[in-house]
Amino acid sequence: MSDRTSSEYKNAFDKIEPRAEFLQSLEETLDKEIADRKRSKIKSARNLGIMTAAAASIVLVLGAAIIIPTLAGIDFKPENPGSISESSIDDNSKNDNDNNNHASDDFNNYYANSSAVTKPLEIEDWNTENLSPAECAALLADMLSGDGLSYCKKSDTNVFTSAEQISDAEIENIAGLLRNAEETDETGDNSAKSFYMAVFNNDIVVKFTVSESGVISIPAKNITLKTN
Amino acid sequence: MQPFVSLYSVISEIKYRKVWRTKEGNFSLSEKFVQELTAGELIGKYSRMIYRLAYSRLQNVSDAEDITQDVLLKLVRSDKTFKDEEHRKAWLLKVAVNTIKTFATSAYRRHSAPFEEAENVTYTDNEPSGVEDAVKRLPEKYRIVIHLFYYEDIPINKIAKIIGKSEGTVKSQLSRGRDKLKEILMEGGYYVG
Repeated sequence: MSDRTSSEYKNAFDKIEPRAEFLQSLEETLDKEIADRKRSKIKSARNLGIMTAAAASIVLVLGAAIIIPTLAGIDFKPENPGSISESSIDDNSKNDNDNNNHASDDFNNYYANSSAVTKPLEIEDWNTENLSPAECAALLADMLSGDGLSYCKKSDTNVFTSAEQISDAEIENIAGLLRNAEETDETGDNSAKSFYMAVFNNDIVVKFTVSESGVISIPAKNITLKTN
Repeated sequence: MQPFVSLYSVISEIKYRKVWRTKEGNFSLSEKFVQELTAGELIGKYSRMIYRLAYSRLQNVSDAEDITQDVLLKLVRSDKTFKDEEHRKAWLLKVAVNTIKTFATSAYRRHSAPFEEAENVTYTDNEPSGVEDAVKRLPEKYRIVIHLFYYEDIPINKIAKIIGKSEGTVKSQLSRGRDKLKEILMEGGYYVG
């Protein structure tokens, strides 16, 4: 290709421009995608923190479960279901005795069934360490809005056995209330309240109440907030 | 012991000197950070490059727009870390070429009737040149190589990496494409020096 043709080629394609409407629409699309990516990264970082804390707790619990009986000189024999409870029962306490029997049954059933050893470990709490009440509520809102939510039930009492699961719209509504909530001294006891139980895929269960006066209570965290 | 020493040195390097090591070489984390561009900056820097490449091959405004959006979305969604501006440009061109190839061979395009929409092309002036008409008549297989070489000024060895072919193949396509373009231009009465 001659120099002239080469420069003509450049000139020809210099003149080809994307439509202005297309560029505007593209900018909006990319802006939205970039914002979504940032939100998703923040959420991942939060989840990672929660998972790390939970994993550390599990390691501590498992470590304690192995080390304490060893130090106490308990002879653990999985094939003998009675051994744990016999060695750990406090004869002076009837309640403890019952609890220990129950616990040891679970413990022994767990190990007696070899397939249960591979059962996934359950995370029983959500980490809110170092979070203010409002941040804690915002975290719960993110958890409710995220993919990790299995279902959320609403009840008039703290019992949810026959309660109905609430819709996605209602969940988003509650998440919105949580995001706009701030710590309060009000108890909300004077107005009617609804009880909620959110169950997440990673086995975290969070119960909270929302009163008609806008007071939100998360009893497990000892947090009371009011929506703005 | 040697693997532990190496691992420790790598961790120390990342921790204290903030150096990121990739296949392409080392660069600092601060450089990686600087590369986060806004949507407006991405469009200003790369949309025309991708659009013109796609248009040169597909000769269709809608398709070129689809390719441009697709490639820039891939960049935003990618966690790819770039060594420098040239590295990112090469990555974008490679992704654009692959996206164009996939699009050009897609069932949708093969089964849809050819749609001439040259009148919808936005020119900065009203006269498409003889070269632009000639590119439309150039066999599709030569268009990308010709465009990358003559419009983007990319050397043959780098074009070979971008399109995933050998340098010999690129040279051959460039030579044949150039001859074909010359032939078309001569046929059309356009001056070729």
